[in-house]
Amino acid sequence: MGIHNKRIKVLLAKSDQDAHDRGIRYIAEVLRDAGMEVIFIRYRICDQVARVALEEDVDVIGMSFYSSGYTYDIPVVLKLLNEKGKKVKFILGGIIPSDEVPRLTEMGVSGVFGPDTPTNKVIQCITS
Amino acid sequence: MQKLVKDMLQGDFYALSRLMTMAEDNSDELPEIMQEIDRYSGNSYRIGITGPPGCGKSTLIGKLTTKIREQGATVGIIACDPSSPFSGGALLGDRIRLQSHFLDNGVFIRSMATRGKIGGLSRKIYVIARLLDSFGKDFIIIETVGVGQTEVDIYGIADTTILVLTPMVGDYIQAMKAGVMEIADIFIINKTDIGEADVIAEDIASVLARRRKPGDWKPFILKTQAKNDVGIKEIDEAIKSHRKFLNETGLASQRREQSRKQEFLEIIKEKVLDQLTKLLGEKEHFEAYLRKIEKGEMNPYRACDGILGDKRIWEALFSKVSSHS
Repeated sequence: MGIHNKRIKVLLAKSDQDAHDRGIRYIAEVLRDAGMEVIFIRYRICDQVARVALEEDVDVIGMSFYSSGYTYDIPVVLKLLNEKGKKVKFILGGIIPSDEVPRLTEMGVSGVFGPDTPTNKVIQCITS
Repeated sequence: MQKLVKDMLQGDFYALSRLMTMAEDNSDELPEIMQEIDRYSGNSYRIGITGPPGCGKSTLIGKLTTKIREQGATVGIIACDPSSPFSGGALLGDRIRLQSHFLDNGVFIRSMATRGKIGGLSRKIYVIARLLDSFGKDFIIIETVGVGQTEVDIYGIADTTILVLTPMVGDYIQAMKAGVMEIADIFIINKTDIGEADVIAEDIASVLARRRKPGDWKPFILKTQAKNDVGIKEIDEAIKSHRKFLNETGLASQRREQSRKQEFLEIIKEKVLDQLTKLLGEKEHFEAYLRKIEKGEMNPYRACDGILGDKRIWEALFSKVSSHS
């Protein structure tokens, strides 16, 4: 394994208002152990997520929501990335109602991984 | 690639970001990119910030950046974190403390994993710094973890090197007379709200006094509480003072010369080592050496002499390296 070969870069982001970060921190470690470079941030407004994703040129964005922030935040982040022509794989965690998943998938979300998701599913989604 | 460079030079931060990715991933176009940006670089002032984990480096960088921005200058921040030697992955957690700067166009932040490089910095750090330089950032702040004698690479790239400690690292000072303590231009004892800083400050001062020769820079020893905005102005002034000293004594250009030489040696070492390592794995007759070493049938020193004395490896290395140039 060439340690200085290309690595998958992941941005994990959670809102300042959302205190439940154990899940996302756990995923951060899982992904690191799977060989990825993981940047973890908190954000006040979702514009910050897009900006960081662009500055760090990440391959994947993972956002976790324990509240309804995703309804507004996800389209805004996707729009800001589209404006710059940046393609990323977008995954979600936290509490997302299952009836929202089709709409989110249509928007461009590649996977929704709530609590208790086996971590290898997340890794598979990212590396496929 | 030329369009990317052109866009970057005109201020497109996403173009800058993509060029950085190309650099980190060892793009074949890297020498060309460097050639294109060469005449636009050489203007940034580089500040290196190192020290044991948990001393508040990132918070401090955030506050210092605010101070610099208040004075109308722009900042590029490169935060280095170690890659796991086993998985190759990394947790790049420094920028979480820099949230207040995320949307400031005068600040560009990039996190980098060390990707196997020892010495505390990431591979290609010189390239990333040059890109930020040509992008027009007045200051480049490079953050790295420095816990011991070997994490001194920051000295090669920074104009001013800052070591950040806390009152809790008394043992560290005792153990750390060599290495990172020898290269710092400014010592900061942060988080003075959690313990007594005077003893540590005195310890450092006496070590430095013993070493100092007339005419040498006298390092500042500052006490701060970065989180509470205490001492930030003093850090800014200390940096200005050091910069003035470097310019007045001509040391500035001397350090830059050394830095350029260091950069070149890094590039050439990496290139040769990469190709050599690949060769040893590829060519059958060298693999035989490796197998003998693994089994203990040949000692590594003899094997090394054997390999380096073999004309074939130099011919193979030459054709590999020149095919990549």
